[in-house]
Amino acid sequence: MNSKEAFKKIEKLKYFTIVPANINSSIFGIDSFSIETFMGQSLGSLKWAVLFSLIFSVLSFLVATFFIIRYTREFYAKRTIPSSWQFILWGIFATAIAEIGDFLGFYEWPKVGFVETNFLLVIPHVIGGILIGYGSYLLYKEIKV
Amino acid sequence: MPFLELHFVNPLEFGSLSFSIFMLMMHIPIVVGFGASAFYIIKYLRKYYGERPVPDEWRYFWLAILWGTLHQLIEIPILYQWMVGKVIVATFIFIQIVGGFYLIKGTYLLSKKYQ
Repeated sequence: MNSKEAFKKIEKLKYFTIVPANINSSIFGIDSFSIETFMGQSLGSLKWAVLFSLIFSVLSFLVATFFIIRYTREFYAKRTIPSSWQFILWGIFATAIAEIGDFLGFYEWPKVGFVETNFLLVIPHVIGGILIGYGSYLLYKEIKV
Repeated sequence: MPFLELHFVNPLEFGSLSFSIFMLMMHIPIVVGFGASAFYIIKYLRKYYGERPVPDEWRYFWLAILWGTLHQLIEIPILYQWMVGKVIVATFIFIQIVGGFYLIKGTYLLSKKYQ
C-alpha cells in the first residue's frame, strides 16, 4: 500500500484522524512529499491556500532579510551596525530557513527526513528565536534617551 | 480532513522519549524568543518615542513580530495534533499571510525611509 492509499484509509476511519510520526524515517523524506496532504491529512479544497501561505511565509522572511540589510546599510552608513540589528538580521534569516523546514515537514509528514527535521526545521527555528529575542533585548538596552 | 477535532496526544510519546523531550524543549526558545522580541520592541518604542506617535515602519515591524509569535504558537497544537481539521489549518494560513504581510511592509518601509 503506498502512502496516498494509506492516507485515504486513515480518512475513512472517523475517529482516527491523528497521523503519528513515522520513527523509521530516512535521511531525506522528499519521497513522501505531497502537496495534497498536510500533517498526513488530505487537504482537499485548502490545498492551494496552504501551498500559497507556506511559500509566502518563506518569501516574507527572505524579503525581510533583504530589506533589513538595506536599512542597516543606509541608516548606519559608515558607522558600525549595532549588535542588536545584527542579531535580529541573522534571526530573521535563520527563521526563513526554518520556514523552508516547516514547508517540507508539513508536506512530508509522517515520514519527515532526518535532515529536514533537524537542519532545516528544529535547529534554525531555535537559533532564529534566540537571535531575534536577544537582538530585540539589546535594541531596548542600547537606546539612550 | 475533519472540520475540527481535539485530541490529547502525549507530547512525550512523539517518538523515543529523548527525541520527544528534545522536540518539546525546542519550542521554548522559539516561542519565548519571538514573544520576548515583541515585548522588548514595544518597550523600545515606548522609551524612544515617548509621547510622540510611533512611525508606520516600526508599528508594522512590531506587528510582524507579534503575529510571528502567534505563528510559532499555533504550530504547537498542529505538530502534536491536539487540534486537527480545516479550522486550525485555515487559522494557520490566515496567521501566516497576515504576519508575512506585516513583515514585508514593515521592513520595506524601514529600508525606504532611510534611503
